[in-house]
Amino acid sequence: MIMRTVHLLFLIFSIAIQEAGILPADGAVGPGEKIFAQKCSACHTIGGGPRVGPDLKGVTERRERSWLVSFISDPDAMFSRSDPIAVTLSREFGNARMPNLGLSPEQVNAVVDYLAAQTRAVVSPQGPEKTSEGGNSHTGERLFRGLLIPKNRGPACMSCHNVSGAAALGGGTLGPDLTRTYIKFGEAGTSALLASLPFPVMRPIYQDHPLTSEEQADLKSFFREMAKRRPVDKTPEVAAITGVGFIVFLILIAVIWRNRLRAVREALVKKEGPEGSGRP
Amino acid sequence: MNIRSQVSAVFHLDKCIGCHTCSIACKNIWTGRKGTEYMWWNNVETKPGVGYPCLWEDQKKYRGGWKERNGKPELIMHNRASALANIFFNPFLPRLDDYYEPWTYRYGDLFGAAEGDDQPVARPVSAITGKEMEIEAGPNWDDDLSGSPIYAANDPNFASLNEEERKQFFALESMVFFYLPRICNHCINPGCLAACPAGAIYKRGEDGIVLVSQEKCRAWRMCITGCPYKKTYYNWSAGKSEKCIFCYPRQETGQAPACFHSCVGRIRYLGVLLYDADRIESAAGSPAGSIARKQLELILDPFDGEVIKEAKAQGIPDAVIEYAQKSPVYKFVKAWNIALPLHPEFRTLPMLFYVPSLLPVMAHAKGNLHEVGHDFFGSPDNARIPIRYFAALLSEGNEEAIRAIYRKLVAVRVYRRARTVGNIPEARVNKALDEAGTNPDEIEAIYRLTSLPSVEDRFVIPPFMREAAIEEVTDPLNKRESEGAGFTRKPKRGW
Ligand code: SF4
Ligand code: SF4
Repeated sequence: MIMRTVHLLFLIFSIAIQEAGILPADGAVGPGEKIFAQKCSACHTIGGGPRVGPDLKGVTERRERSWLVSFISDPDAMFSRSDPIAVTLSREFGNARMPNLGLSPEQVNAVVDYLAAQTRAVVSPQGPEKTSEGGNSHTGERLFRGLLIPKNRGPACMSCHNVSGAAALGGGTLGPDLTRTYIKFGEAGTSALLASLPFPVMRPIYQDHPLTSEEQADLKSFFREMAKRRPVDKTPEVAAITGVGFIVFLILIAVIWRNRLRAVREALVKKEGPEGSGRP
Repeated sequence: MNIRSQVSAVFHLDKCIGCHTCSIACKNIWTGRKGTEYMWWNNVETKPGVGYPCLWEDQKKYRGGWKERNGKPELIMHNRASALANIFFNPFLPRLDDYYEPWTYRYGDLFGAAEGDDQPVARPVSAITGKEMEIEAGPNWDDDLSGSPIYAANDPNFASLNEEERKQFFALESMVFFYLPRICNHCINPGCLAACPAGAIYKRGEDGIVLVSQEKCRAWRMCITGCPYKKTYYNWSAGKSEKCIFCYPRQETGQAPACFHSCVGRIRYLGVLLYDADRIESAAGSPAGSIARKQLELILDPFDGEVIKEAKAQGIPDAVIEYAQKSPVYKFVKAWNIALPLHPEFRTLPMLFYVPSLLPVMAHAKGNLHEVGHDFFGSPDNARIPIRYFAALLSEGNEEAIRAIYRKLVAVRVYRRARTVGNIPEARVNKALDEAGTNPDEIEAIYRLTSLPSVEDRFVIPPFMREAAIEEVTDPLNKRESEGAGFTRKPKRGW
C-alpha cells in the first residue's frame, strides 16, 4: 500500500514537472534551441554525425513535418503501430528507441522550427553542450557509489545502476548496467548525457539536482575507466543469498518457537495406536 | 478490607448424571452462531478423561494460569517482554483438532438422493468448511470412558497415582468414572484477563462476572492461553474471543443461568459471596499447598457484624448482603466446608466450587453376598476412586481436605439411613458424626439442600440493580423524546 502511494506520488510529481515545461528561453537563445540543448543533444547532433540517434541535419527535408511532430510528441505510439520509418530507424541504431520527452505541442513545434532553421544554416553549430575535460575517475567512482554526495544533492548513480565491480553484490538494477556506456555513447555522447540526463525516469529526479560540470567530468572519466571492463551479472549471487537467508530465517523461527504448542489430540492418538480411538 | 460481591456457584458432583442437558441449553442460547460451532461454554467431561480441549489440565502444554514468584502470581505463558515478542503469534494456542472439528450431516441426501439399489446415507460434513470429513473426535469423545486406552489412560490427574491404582480404574470389577461439568469459573484472579494485551476483558465490580468486551477485543488470542481452564474461545468468524457470560442477561432479570436452570440432576447452586479484594495477590501468590485454603479465607462471613458494617460503608447494597447470608454457595463452601475449587494450583482463584462425589465403595464377593466395603458406606480410603485422584483435582494433592469432606458426606448418609431405615446402631451414627466433626442440625441442613432443594433454595440470585449501575453513566430519561431508552450506541456487530 505504502509502496503504491509512493509510486503514485512519484508519477504525479514527474507529470507535474513535465507539465510545467522547461525553463523559458532567455534572450539570445530561441526556445527551440534551448529545448534541443536540454532534451535532444544527448543523442542527436545537427551536422555532427550520428550518435545514439541519427544526425538531424536536413531532417526537415528528409521527413514530413507532420511525421516529425507526431514522432517527437509520442514515439511510443509510432512504434506500437509499427510505423515503417520509426522501425527502420530503430533497427539502424541498435534497437535504440526514441524516448518520449514529454514536450507540449508548442515545444515540439519550436524544436522542429529550430531543426528547419539549422538545416538552412550554412555552418552547422556545435551542440551547446559544454564538454568538461579532465575529471578524476576516482572521485567519479565515489560519486557513482554514493560515497561522495553531489553538490546539488542528486541521488547516487548506484541506487539504480550497476557497473562492473562497483560493489560486492553490484549496484541497482532499475536502470541499465553502465559499464559499457562510454563505448556505446562515445566521449561527446557521454558528456551530453551527463549534462542533461534526458531519460524519462531520470529527468524528474535530476531536474532540480543537476550534476555540476566537475562532477560530470569525474563521472565521465570513471565511465571511461569502466569501459575497459566487462559487465558482470550479480543476480545469481543475490538470489543465492536471498535463498540462504530465507532458510536461515525459517530455522531461526523454528528455534525461537521450538516450545510452541503442537498437536495434542493427534499426538495422543498416534502415541497410543489406533485401538480404542473410537474409529471402526 | 476491600469488600466485593461475586455471584458464584457450587456443583454437586454426586448428583450429575452426565446428560449434557446443560451444554445443550447453553449452546442453544449462546453458541449457535457462525464461528462458535466448536465452542462449549458449558461442557461435561468424564473423569478419568482428557476433557475438552484435549488434555486442558496439562499446563506444561497449554501454559495457562499463574505461577508463584516472590510471593506474587505471575502468568505462566509470558512476562512483559515475551508477551511483546509473541504479540503477533501466540505459540501456545490449541488447534481446532484439540477441541474437535464440529460437524453436521447431509440430511438432505436421505430424502433427495436419486433412486438406486442402496439406501441413501447422510454423510458427515464439517460445520466449518462444509466439506465431507471423517469424524475423529468430539467435545465429549471420551464420554463414559470411551476410548479409554487413549484418552482416560492419559488423564493428567493420574500423575500422582501409582501403576496399581491406575489399573484399578480400568479393571472390570472396579471400573469407575464420574462426570465433571465445567463452565467459566469467573475467577477472582482471572488468567484470561491478565493475559489480554487489549484490556478487553473485565470483571464486573458488582457481581464478579468476567466478560470479554466485543468492542475492545483485538483478536490477540492471549486469553485463550491465559485461562488454564480453556474457557475462552476464539470466534474465527467475528475475529473476537468469547466466553461464558454467566447468562448475565438472565440473571439481571432474576433467572438462573440456562445451564443451571436446565440441569436435570439439580446439581447446581448459585449464590452471592463477599470477598476481600485486598488479599487477592497474597492468596494467588501463596506457596503451593496453601492456595485453596488462602482462597477460602478470602471469602468473608456475611453474618459477621464487622464485615456487614464495612460492606455497607463500601457501598455494597443491603439487599446483596442479605442475599449473601442466604447464599447456598456460602453454606457449601464456608459453613459446611464440603466444596472445593477445581485445580486451585492454577492460582486464578476460581469461584466455582465442587462437592466431590462419594462414589460407590468397593464391594467384595463373599459366597452369594456382596459385602459393600468393610464398614457401612466404607471408609473414605475404601472409595473406588482413590482419595488422591480427587486431591489432584480439587485440593492441590491435599488428601486430608478430601477425607474431611468424605467423612461429612458419609456422616450425612449414615445419619439419614438411621433416621429413615433405622438399621444402624446409634453408636455407629454418633461415631460418624464425631469423626466428621458435625452435628445433627448441620447434617439435616446438608441433607435438605442436597436432596430436597426447591428452585429458590438452589438459585439465590441477588438483585443485580443494573438500573443503579446504568443511571450512573446514562440518564434513561434524556433520550425519552428522541431515540428512546433502548439503544445508547449503534450496534456495530460486523457479521
Ligand atoms: S475460568 Fe478462565 S475464562 Fe473464566 S475467569 Fe477464570 S481464567 Fe477467565
Ligand atoms: S444438566 Fe446437570 S446433570 Fe446433566 S450433565 Fe449438566 S450438570 Fe450434569
